[in-house]
Amino acid sequence: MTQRESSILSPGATVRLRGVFDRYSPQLYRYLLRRLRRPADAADLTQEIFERFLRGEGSGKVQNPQAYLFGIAANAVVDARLAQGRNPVTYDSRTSDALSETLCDPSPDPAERLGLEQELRTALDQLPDVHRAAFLLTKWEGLSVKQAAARLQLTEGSVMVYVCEARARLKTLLRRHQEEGAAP
Amino acid sequence: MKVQSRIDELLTLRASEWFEIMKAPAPADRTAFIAWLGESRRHVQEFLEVAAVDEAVGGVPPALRENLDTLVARVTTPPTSLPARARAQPWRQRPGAHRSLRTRTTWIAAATVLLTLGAWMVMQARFETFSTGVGEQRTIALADSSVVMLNTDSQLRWRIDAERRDVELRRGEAIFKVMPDAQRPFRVRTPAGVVRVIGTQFNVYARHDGITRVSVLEGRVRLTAPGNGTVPDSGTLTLKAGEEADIRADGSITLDPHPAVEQAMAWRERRLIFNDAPLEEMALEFNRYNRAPRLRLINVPPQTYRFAGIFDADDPESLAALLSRESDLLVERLGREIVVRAP
Repeated sequence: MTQRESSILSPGATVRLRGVFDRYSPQLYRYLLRRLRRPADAADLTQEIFERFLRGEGSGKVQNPQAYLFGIAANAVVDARLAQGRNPVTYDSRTSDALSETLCDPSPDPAERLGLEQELRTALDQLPDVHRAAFLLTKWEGLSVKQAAARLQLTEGSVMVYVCEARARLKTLLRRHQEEGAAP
Repeated sequence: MKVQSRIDELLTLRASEWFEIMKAPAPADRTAFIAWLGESRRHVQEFLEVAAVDEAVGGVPPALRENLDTLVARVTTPPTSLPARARAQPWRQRPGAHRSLRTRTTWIAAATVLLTLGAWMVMQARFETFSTGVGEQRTIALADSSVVMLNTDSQLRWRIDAERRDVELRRGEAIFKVMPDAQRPFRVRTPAGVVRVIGTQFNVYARHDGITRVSVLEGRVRLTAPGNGTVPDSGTLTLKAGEEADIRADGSITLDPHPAVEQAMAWRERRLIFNDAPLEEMALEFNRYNRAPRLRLINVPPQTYRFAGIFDADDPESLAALLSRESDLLVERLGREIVVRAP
């Protein structure tokens, strides 16, 4: 575990993003979803994350900017929790993975999880068929863009466009759902 | 407010594209991605949230997942809203064939029928015509599986047989997603010139002023002017992905030094994106999409009032609202028109 933790931020690290939250920081994942769905309940750490990102000049940032960003975002979330005094455990990046289960809610509470699943399904239903098909083939069946293109009889470029549009649209719908629910 | 939410959506889309790119980034992508993140905290926020949404979709339990085979079958079946004439293509008229195109297997079988009928079709081939009314958009699947999205107030003729794929955009605008087929080049003719491709995705806009604007999203296309594409030495230009060019009525072809391909494709989502555009052009664009209210300019000098913004194509009122804030423009509603007067 610890070895993987350190390799994430080291130069030349190759980290596949898929499941990065699961492996690296479930806390960050939960924080982001809460921020997205209930912005009023979640602290806004955007500025803090942004500033930490700008401060970092190391080669780790260039080698794997994505892992670098996730790393500092995860740290910012943990630091914020500590600052709130919710948990007395001292933070150590090498063990954050193991600690994450005790640091915050063990797993998202069942009601919250159910709510998310329902909102996701509603949002997915609102996507055009071809967007949904392209996106879900890559997500659920693990197809490459090329394979999905063959399956859908489309060009790779089109599938790429549909996948990107679908993901963006889902995010917008999740947030909008929340805003509409809050302001009838 | 509306414009702001459009900008938000574009930001989210950009974040989603970065997410895709960063799955297998080139060194230049990494540098560009860092620069993009460093531009604004919003970029950082959008990227993280988009990643979380992607993760959440992956976490939907199998029991709650939609059946993708059914979905794929529905998507790959030719659009049912094809006009009657399209259904009258000979190969689809074979008894039972056009009703049972439900699965990929039968779709392939139909393609085989198409091949065996090929020779016969050469003799039968003739131009089919499609058009859209003001405000209407339509997607058409051609016989070679290429797809054309026809924008508002446009007219298209096409002929596809064993040797050629000829399309004529007589008026308006269309995005073409062309099935690769090196044997049969796909040609789009407009009043100003010819666009020739093998397999790609691009937008062609035959404008009212006689200029044809071509924007390439993917692959390569070759532009030829004037209208006769068989003359090798007339002006030609090869366009790559991300490039745009204009073919003018006098036969000249000019590459746009500041291409905005994404903007050119935005009409798929009924968005109009203007970047320092003159008011007369904005009015013309809105009027392509809307029968009412129409925008009419009175006394407005050309190239003088310029604006940037992102609009809902179906909402000319949003432009009217913007203009009414200009102190030297008078905006009034007269029946089904929005009249804009300059002093």
